[in-house]
Amino acid sequence: MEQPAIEIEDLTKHYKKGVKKKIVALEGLNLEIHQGEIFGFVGPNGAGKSTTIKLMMGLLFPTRGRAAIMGTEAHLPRARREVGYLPENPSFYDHLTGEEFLLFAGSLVGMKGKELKERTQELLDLVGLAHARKMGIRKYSKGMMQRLGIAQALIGNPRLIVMDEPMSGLDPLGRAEMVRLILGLKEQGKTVFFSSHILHDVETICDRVGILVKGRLTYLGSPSQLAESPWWVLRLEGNHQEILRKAGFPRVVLMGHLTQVEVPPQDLWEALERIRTLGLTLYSLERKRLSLEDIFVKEVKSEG
Amino acid sequence: MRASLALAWVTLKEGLRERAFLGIMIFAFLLLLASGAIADLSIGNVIKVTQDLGLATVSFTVLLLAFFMGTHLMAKDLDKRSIYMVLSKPIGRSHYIFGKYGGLTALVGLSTLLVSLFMLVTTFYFYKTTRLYTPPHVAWFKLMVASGFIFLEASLILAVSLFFSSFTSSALLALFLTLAVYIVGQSTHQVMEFVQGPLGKRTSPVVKALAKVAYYVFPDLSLLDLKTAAVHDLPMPPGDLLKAFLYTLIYISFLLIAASLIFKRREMK
Amino acid sequence: MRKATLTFHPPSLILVSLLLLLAPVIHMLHIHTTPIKSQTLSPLPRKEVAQISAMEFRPLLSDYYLVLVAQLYGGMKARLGKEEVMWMARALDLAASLDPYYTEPYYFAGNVIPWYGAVDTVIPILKRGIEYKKGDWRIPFYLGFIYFYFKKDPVKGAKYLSMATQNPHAPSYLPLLVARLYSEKGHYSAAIAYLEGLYRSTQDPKLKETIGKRLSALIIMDRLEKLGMEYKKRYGTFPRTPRDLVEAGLLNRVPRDPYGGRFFFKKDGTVWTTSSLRERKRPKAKGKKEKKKERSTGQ
Repeated sequence: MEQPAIEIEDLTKHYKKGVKKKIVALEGLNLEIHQGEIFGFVGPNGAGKSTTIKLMMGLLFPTRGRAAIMGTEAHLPRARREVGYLPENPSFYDHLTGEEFLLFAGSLVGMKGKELKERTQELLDLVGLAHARKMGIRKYSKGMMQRLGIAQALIGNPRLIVMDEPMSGLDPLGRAEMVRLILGLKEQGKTVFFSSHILHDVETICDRVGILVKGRLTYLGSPSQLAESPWWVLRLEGNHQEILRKAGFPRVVLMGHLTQVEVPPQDLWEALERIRTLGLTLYSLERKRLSLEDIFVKEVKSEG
Repeated sequence: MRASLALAWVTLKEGLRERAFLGIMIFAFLLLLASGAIADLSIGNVIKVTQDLGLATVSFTVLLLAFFMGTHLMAKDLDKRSIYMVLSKPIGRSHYIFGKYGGLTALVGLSTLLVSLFMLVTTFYFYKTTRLYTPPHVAWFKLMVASGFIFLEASLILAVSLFFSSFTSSALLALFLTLAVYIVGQSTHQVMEFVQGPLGKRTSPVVKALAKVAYYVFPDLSLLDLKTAAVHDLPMPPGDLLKAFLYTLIYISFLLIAASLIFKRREMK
Repeated sequence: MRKATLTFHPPSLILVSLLLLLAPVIHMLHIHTTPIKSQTLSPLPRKEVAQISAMEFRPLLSDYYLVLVAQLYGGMKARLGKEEVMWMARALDLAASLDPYYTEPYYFAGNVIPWYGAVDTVIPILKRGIEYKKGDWRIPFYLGFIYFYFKKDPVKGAKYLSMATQNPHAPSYLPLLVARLYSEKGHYSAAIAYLEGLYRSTQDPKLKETIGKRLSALIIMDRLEKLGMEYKKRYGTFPRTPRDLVEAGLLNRVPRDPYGGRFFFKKDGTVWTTSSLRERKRPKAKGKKEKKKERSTGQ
């Protein structure tokens, strides 16, 4: 069987707060990331995503359990040979220029000479910073810093790229660029693991998604399964809240000039029949899509 | 090894481009330029005073750099989390410590070289232009040796500051701890002399024991202070210099190894 | 998420440290430029405290105290009261113990202070100086003279004076000078012999001028005393003023006190002056340039 890109077993991290109190940042995480897949790690702020990533990168040490990168235990420097890492809100040595920083990052992964220079130019072109290569990082915008961060993660041409909130703080254009970049990496056969607190980011491009709530993995699977719910959404023109409530529909809301009704799958035909008898006009009918908040709520509930 | 060198190089560049570095250098140059005029307030051998001021300027500015850069550059790295970018590369934590130390030492070494060179130039100028009836004697080579030992002292201070930075996240705390070590290290020899001298009869045994412990635990920085010897052209036996050099080297190695061991276990929150 | 940390602002901290270093320098300049009236004697730390707290900047602190002494002496010779002299002696003690190889504090302590008082404070300073500055003949010479002249202890004086003459660096005229110190009988003779030696070995023009002035006054006083003896032989009593000598035909005219006072005879026939051999007024500020460049190392 092929070596998993990331192997996480029973990974647990507790922080001490004061003398007696402890905070559970991550509890018993089991996860395996396959080679070549794009994995989205989703959860609300403070769920433990960054903790997991830092444990994978050897920046933190687990209370219990283990993580391995390409078969090597995460705390060993060797484990980081095949992985590029983009921290959340990356910050740099701001007295350096972008180019200087990339040269530095390259020499840290053991590159040198002409190879390093060429790779640096290539990456500056790839992330669109060629014009700012001689500019002090101090003067970079947030988007430019994010792009420089990606360039330094890619410098050693790693097989696995781990990114912590790569989309946060980017404008829609930046997000689209990031999506294109991630898909490009997949095309090159690389594995991408990234975290986000926005479901939409992961839905479109991820092969698989994991949801982390309060330090526990509550969902693992394809994003489409996750976002779709068996419930139906019916929309009717005009304000018919009162009539529909009286007719026994539990979930009715007014949305602008439309009245929206949600019904479970088994009740769909009966609901349509009732609407017809009430003499109302159907505007649209579609499957309900969940927001991340819905999912978190759902997952937390199902846990409890 | 190469990773440490790369880190050292970047640390040096960072340090050179800090505004504080430029400020300290300008201050040192101005003070050296003024040293002749300040020395003129005194009587008799004003060139002696010029040399005192010159060497004091060298050690003050170089130590100031060691204190602030030693604690500031690493704390900044941790605080701004730029360190994530470094530690996520396939290098060991000890490489980080050694690389940082190498860069800081290069920075401090470079500034020692600059300031002491300027000190020699200004001293020479005042030596040539001040007409004294008995030409004063200046031991030029010993002034250089004294400057070299100031660099050694600053290197030791850097190691102390990295040692404290390896476990505190507050730069201010690391600075104060380093300052405390410096102050104790500067005075422990003198205190020991007082305690063992006639004054010692009046001191309590607890104080004596404390002085003894401090003397053995803290670095004896008075060993590295050759300023008086240089200015008065007192003998500097090579054996003693070598001993002081090795003492410092061993102390630095010990501190850096301890810093690496602590830093290896440190969590990057 | 970001925790609030105490901000660390190196530039401001550095500025504070630099100002700390500058403080003594500024203080010196301040004293240098402040009119004398507003000067007060700053409190001096204990020697041990100064030695420990000055750390590696001891020589600089030593220079600082010497500058304070020099400024005080240069600025207010006329007002040197007991308090000021004691303060200068203690400041010199500090300067000498902070940098024991520095010669100037010993010279100042041995050469200037005793004429104003504080003799007992000066002696241990010079004894330490002899330990540290083995090749220096002046320190035992000053100490010997202090014992001989001020302490009236010729035995101890002889010990240090011979120590000075045996020093290989001592000038060739020194043995002769010492011999004269012991042979001269008059009240002021020893001091004259001493000051003559000092005058010859001093190159600093300002210091030389001071010594010369004192020397010429002492020579006059010595001569007056001898004439006074003559007067007594003739008239049975000591004269009261030099005018008596002129009237008796022993002296052509009344000599002038270089310090601006008037000489008079005490009842025992010794001569003293209303100026007490001290400057009356602060001497006018010298031309800066001349003062600046002409300095003696005193070696």
